[in-house]
Amino acid sequence: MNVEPSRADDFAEAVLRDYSDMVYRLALSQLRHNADAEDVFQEVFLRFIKSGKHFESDNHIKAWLIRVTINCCNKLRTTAWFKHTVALEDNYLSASEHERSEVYGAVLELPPKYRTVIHLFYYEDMPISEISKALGIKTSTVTSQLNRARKILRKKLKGDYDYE
Amino acid sequence: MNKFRELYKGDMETFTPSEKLREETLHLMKEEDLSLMEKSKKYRWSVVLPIAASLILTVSAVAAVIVPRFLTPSERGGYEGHIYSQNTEDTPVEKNMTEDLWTSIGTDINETVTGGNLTVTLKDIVYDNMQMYINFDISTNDGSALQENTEFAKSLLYRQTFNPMYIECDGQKYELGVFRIDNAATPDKASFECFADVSNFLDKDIRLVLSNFEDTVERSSDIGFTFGSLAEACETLTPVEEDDFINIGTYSTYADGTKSYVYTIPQGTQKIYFSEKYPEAYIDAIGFQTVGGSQSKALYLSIVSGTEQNTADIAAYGFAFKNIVTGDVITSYYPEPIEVAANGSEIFYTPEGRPYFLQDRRVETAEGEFEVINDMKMMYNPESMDASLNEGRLILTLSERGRETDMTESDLADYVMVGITPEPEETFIREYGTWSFELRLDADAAAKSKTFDINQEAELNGGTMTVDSITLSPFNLFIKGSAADTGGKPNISSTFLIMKDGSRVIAEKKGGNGLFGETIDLDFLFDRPVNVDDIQGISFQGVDFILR
Repeated sequence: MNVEPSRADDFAEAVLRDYSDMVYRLALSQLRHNADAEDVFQEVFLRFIKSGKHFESDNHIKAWLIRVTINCCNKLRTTAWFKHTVALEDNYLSASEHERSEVYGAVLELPPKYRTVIHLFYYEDMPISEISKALGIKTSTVTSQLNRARKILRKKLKGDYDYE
Repeated sequence: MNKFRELYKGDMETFTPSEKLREETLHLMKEEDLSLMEKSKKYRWSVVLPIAASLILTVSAVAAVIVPRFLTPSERGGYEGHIYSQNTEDTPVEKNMTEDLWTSIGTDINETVTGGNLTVTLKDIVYDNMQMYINFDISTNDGSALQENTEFAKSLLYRQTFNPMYIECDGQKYELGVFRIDNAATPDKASFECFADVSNFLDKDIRLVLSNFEDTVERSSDIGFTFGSLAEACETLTPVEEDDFINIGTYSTYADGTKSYVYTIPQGTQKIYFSEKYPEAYIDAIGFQTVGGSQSKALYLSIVSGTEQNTADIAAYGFAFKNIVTGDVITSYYPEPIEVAANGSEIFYTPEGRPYFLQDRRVETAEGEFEVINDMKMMYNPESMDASLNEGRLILTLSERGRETDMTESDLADYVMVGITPEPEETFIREYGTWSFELRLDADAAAKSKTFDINQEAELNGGTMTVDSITLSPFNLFIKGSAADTGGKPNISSTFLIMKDGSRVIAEKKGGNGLFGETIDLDFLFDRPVNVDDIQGISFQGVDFILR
């Protein structure tokens, strides 16, 4: 009997290797807690394996993982568990830690929706059209969210910054 | 000039998932066990209650040191009545156990310290040799409210905390988790429960320090909504049929070949004016359709802003919906202004970001392509469209996060429209000061967990697992053992306590090693505290292990 290779073998390892930083950092930017980001990290990659989706390209995988990461973060954010627990041993990420810049602290204080587009645009270097595709929202919405986020950041950040 | 992009990237790249997390995740992926996914989440706190009575040897309250307050209650908006329900959702530990259990493991304290505008009363404490729970109340001395709960401002009780809040011991500071456990029924009083690992504190002088009571307020703005609810506003509108929504393109293709689509609502013909602030704006269509690939339906509203200035204002700040039962402001989806090209045609964007004019609905062919009906002109260069928001309409969608059922017309009675502010959540210190308590926890009085030798084998995944011992406390279960040829990882989805009265208590995996290899070393947390003497055994991997 022929048995097709399981998706959860080399493919899983390759996807995890290539996208673990991306998923983890995106989740961290959304949730701000190591432990929460780790929970989402696991859930995203398990959903990937269980989805059975056919991916046409690396970009397709990336867009799918971003979308699912955002969904998982939103789901976690609405749970009572998330609302009522505070990390004990895990670090709550703050701008004062590890000599991070004030930029990081300002982004952390943005509403989640704005953190998403800021992260994808400035960290993942995704063009607006790709962010639109990944999030399932229109390019005009991405643009307006980016503009609003920059507006808030300009108010928060005292120094002059180039937002290009 | 500093480059924002470089600085943000530099900051983010200091965060990397641990090798342990990668390894564990890869293992889970290979397991392809969906149920395992939910159960493998790590719990960030644990509660272990002592089996026998605990004792506080000494408690003393320390005078507060107050730093200047910057805002008076009236300056902060004050308390104008308890308008919306405030559910804290979780049941505190002290109210989730029998009186007998509380009598045996809890200790009343009732020490009070007053400073600045707050009085803090340390009510009671529960601890064993691993974990401690502390309950305390606070109240304002001038009777001002500890939260806002007005038409356009609502404190998020679950976000209230003290900043900082810690236990000081041997020169070290240990962060505490805390959450509010009352529903703000009395405006100037609040109750909190905090918890910490107690192992570092036993038989030592410790100091519980609460500083600066912090509040987060969610604010919206008044658009002068002229109806009592969306239901009233839309009662004369017939919802757009699902099939008449504009199908913009494929959102996702699932494993079974089915697809989800991105939709938008077509412009309607009626004019329902709804806002005193934007008197020219009107609702022209409503409908219910999926959004963003979700399988449940959301409300779509088509709104024509009426003037360019209105459009610019709304696009900048936006409308939101407010649940008039809970006071929650739902800003899940921001207004999406529909652009209008110079020729007057509306412009839509495919999920790929390609803009096009729409003159009629598109239909999908058997080959999965979208066929253009009635001369729809695809435009691939947005620069050439001379787009503007010229009295354009806006699409609003409403679907509360976490909602799993379709939005329907009957739900509209629960919502009104409000404006959102650029920063809808404001976090600030509501009461400045420091309130502290000196404590000493007696190690001898702290009850120890009970360990039971089991030494029982059972079949698992074609191999053999052996449970050597089980350790139980009112909140925790520890299982130690070994596994051979079982495929590596136990299925932890089915672990529960078997109580002597026949009931079951679910045990969720909390932590512990032994997820890999041949060692079982697992740590579980119960969904409610139990008396260990009431436990008959446990069910683990579908096998019952009875205590002897």
